[in-house]
Amino acid sequence: MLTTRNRRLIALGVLISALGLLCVWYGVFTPAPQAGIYPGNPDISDTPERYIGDRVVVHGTVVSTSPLSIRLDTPATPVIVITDLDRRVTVNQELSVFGVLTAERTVRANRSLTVPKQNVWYMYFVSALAGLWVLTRLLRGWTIDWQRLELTPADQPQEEA
Amino acid sequence: MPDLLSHALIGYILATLLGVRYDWIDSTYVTVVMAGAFIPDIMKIAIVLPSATVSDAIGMPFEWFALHTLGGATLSILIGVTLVAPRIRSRVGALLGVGAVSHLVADAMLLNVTGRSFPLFWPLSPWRPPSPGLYLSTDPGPAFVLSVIALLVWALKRSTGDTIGTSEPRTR
Repeated sequence: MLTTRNRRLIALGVLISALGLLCVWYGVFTPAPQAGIYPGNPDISDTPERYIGDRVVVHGTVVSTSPLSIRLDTPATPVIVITDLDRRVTVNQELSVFGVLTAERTVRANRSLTVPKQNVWYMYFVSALAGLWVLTRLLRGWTIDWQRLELTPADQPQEEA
Repeated sequence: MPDLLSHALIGYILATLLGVRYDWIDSTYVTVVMAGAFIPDIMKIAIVLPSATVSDAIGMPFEWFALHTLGGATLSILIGVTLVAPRIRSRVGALLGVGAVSHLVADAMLLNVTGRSFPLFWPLSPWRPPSPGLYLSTDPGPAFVLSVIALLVWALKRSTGDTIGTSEPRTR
């Protein structure tokens, strides 16, 4: 039974390793439009020549409005020119575009999304609030036995091992 | 994803309503569902440690987003279950599951520029379902509506004189 600290540590080691492997496996995903997996920022950043003529998704920060260009958040931080965008944007806005890669660094927009900066701040603020709320509830409702590495409801006596 | 407050509120509402049917779901266990609702967003660790950075460091592909799928959530729930006593493992596992699944479903309805959501069933399937595109993660609307519902649910529970959400001792 997983009731001792050492056994729990081993189990945690196994599970966290499995999570790591899962993240590696997910990283191997290659674009497959028929399953809704379109080439995205990493693909357009590293190997754009493979996807010319294909539908792609890119998102980044607007760095220029003439020509309209966004900088992707990948390590290479390439700048992509966006054509045929049907909305007005300003520098520093976050822009997501779904469209066709017409050249290695050019996307013809089909659909797009922007997010106002203040909404992003709102999201971070309420998310932090939520984190505090749940953390408070956890600290009040549960106690930690460090010897056995076990969480128990605060209103229940712990079982003897 | 809808903001974390919306996810936490969905967890709270679901758990409190489940507590009507299962009276062992008290405040302690409502918290478990709410914690479960946070699980898929553990992937937000990518904000401070980008997937590309980890990938370069280990020399292999790596993507934190795996944590935001059925497979990632399942392993994370198992971690939670490992940390509690055997006699409450099935309860905790089930409630964490309710929370995590509610998060994945809520996120699957986010407005997305491709019209498709994320592969929530991975690794069982790489399929990205079409999304009804109901809201953006930055919209204040969902949290507002959910706050109202949560308040109503809370008030209803208190007015029916139930012990859910209070610290009265219960016999089990």
